[in-house]
Amino acid sequence: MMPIRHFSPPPLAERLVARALDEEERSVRLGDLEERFQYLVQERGERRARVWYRWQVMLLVVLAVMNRFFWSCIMFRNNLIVAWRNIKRSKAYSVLNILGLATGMAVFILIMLFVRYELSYDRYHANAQNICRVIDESPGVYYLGSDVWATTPAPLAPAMARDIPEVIRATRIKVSNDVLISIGDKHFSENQFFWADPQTFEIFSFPLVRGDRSMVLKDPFSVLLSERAARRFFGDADPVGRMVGCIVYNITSEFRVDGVFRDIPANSHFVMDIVAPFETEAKIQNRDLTQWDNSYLYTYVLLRKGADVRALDRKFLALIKKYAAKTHKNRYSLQALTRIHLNPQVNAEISPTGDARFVFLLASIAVLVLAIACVNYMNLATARSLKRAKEVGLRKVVGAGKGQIVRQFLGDSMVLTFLALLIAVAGVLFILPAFNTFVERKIVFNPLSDMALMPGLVLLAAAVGTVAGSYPAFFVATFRPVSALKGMGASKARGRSLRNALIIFQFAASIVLIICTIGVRSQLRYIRNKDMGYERDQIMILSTRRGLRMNMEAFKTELIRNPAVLNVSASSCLPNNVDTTTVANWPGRPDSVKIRMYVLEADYDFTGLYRLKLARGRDFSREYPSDAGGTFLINESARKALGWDDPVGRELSWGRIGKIVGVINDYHMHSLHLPIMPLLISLNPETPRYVSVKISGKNIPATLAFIRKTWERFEPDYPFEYSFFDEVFDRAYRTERRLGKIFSAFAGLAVLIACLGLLGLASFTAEQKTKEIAIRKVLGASSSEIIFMLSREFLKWVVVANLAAWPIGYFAMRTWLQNFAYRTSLTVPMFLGAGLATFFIAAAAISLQTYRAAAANPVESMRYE
Amino acid sequence: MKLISRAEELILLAILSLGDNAYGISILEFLQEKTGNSWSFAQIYDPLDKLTRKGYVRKRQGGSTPERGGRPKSFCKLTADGRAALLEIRRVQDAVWGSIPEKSLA
Repeated sequence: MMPIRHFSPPPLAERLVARALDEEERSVRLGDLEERFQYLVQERGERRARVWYRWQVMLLVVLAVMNRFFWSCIMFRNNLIVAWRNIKRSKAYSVLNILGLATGMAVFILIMLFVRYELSYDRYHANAQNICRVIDESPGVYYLGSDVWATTPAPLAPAMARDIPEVIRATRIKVSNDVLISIGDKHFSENQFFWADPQTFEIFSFPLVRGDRSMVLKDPFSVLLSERAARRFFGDADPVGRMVGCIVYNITSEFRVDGVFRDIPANSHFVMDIVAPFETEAKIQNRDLTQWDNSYLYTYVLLRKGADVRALDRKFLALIKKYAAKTHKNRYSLQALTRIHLNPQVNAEISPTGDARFVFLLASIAVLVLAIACVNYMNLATARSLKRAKEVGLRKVVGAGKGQIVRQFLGDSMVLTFLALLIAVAGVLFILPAFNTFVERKIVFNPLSDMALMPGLVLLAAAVGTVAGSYPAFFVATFRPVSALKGMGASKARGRSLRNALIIFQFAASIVLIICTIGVRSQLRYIRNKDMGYERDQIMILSTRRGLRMNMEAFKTELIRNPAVLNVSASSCLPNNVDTTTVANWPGRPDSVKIRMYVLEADYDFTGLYRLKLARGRDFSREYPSDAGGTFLINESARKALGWDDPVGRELSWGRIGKIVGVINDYHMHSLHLPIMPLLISLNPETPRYVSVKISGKNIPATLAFIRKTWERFEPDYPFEYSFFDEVFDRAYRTERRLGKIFSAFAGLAVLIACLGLLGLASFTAEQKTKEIAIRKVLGASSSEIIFMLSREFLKWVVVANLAAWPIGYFAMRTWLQNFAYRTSLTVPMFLGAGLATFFIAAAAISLQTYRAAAANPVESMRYE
Repeated sequence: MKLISRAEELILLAILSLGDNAYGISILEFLQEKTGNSWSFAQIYDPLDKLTRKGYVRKRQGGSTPERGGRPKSFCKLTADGRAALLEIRRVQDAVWGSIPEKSLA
């Protein structure tokens, strides 16, 4: 019979076994297998032969795997022991290394937690990918630098649900601030009271803990509470069915609690604790729900899966054409729910958002610090490896391959990184509460229960270990055994230039961070010292409530009777944040002239209290009875914008027509990010939101107590809350201050890590040059000369790092400063300062080590080796 | 001298018995025939590798046949050490067996 070749063994099994077998034996054993296979085909048929073949292959593979595992375990154990001995033998070096890596990893973990948190906003909704918010671009309606608004008019949501087939659900949400809630005789002030359509609970995933899902917000006088709010209002008692009294805009209404929903996670762009039907708000307020020209609420829609958002944007035009008046100029578009949090460009958000640029900046700093830490390790380990040349040489001589040496040294760095990881995790746990307060988030770090975190951390350590360890490992693996055994010789100079480049990189990165620190700080100092054009010391700010609004004059009179109260003024907003705008209007204004002005309503004492300076004309005055009928002040910018050389006596219209009585000097009515704009101050003491109280610096507690007492007489229902104007002022630069702190913290860390590396390298060099130092000393060199000699080389690289870092720092800071309309200038001393600072820190770090080497007794040193 | 395992002993004996024709398949068949059990290649290769490493067995490449897919055979031969190891294990066995009275097994 012909040998049968068309029965070939199972190909996959064959390839598998080929991999499992040793190279030497491979073809022989494949031959054995195949021969037997062919024999079995003849004897028992192809099917059984194949089964037999697969079975044999499996057994062989298991054997091979077990063998290999056995040997690598032995080797791994051996490497671990060697690594551990190395750590123990050179404690200082290992501590430097582990600390450097731990710091870098801790920073990285911390910031990545933050980044992950920022990216997680609003993603927990089941429909997150299909929910959008309608935003409104009102071209020209610039407000604080942006003309994109989150607010929309009331008829939009119903119209969208009706006319746009892709919109499955649409809802309106309105937020009322400062609502007083009474339960029995207990009062609570609720910062954000929500009004919403029932669809809200179908669009968003807000699971109900109590109550009937189908009846949510259907009854006009029902409310839903979050678990948190229910606990706050009712303690442990059952809230469902209880009555809640709410005073909204001076109108009292009674609501019945219909249900309780689970607390909304903190990573949401709005967190509501109490919500009532939207239409009830409209009724209470007598709102016309068909009015398109009043944007005061938020519209959210649930889209059909796969709907084309861009195409929908176009459908808005048809919608407006069909329902709104011809003059309706707003341009609507959809913003994905998940994009809301990181986009700070939208005005009138429900709560402050984050900023993608800030997240990106932090992430880059994290990567930079981690890179510095890795570089640090590479540097130290490479320098150190020369010490282990003999070990490597011996290993090679007894037959270690390059791969094995590489694996061993990679293993070393893995051991160190995993030790560092433990320290880093402990560090993160320790620092997280402070970090949370700092970034105003509620980040949770629980590596044991967080499914995604544990593998992430292990992966991070493995990646760091590989990146940091691979260069030293390959560097070592290329040692030539003979010269290595003889005592480095040839390999001495190798790897030097790379190490120098790494030092330069480390220091350049640190210097860039220092320059950024100095830049941000100097801008903050500029803000602090800049003359804003108004007074900001010892001014107390109260938010008005119902009682105050109705009895403002009496309240003022009462306060001013105390000699410690110097002045009292009521206004619609504070002078540093004027938040209302209008198009200036006056009798006879041509339609084409559109001058946008910010508007501030204040009483007679406002300019006096804040010391706004008059450029021409006069202030509001009680001595002119006609002032009460409508009088205006404008600022210089407004005068210029209007083009009126002498505006005093001319008429303007805001609410009513009145005369301009004076012009004030331009002052900064917003943060320094924004240029000064035209401003109109209207005399209107009737509906103020704030009361400013200027007090004398003497005996402030007594004055506070007096004001509190007076407040309690006028506002018995509301707790007394106040802030000082300089704090309010500072709050506007919170982001900048945070940035300044972050930069200084990370610059400090970066310098620290870089210095750890430098310290290690310096001590290593000193050790290597022990004999040289001794000989020099014997020949008459002084200690300081030796310190200089040892330090010179390192400090040279710090200087080079400076030259590399300056331009980068300059561009970074220039870009950042462009956020400000008014900014400090970048000066040479800033850069020199950063440079000198690093130089001296580095010098101090090195000289500690070099001093020891230089001061050593030469006789001892000569005997060394 | 460290004693070899039973599997190693059997394989050494198989090689000895097969003479010039001792390679994977013939060893497998020899063992199956003599023991009456089914043997897998993994059971043969693993001890064979150990024996080779210890220097008890030497290998020589032989020709290929078409039913092997054109792959060579590798014939095994005992070395002097291998023989010594066999003799040693036999000596030990005899000594141990000799100390056991016939009747205690019955």
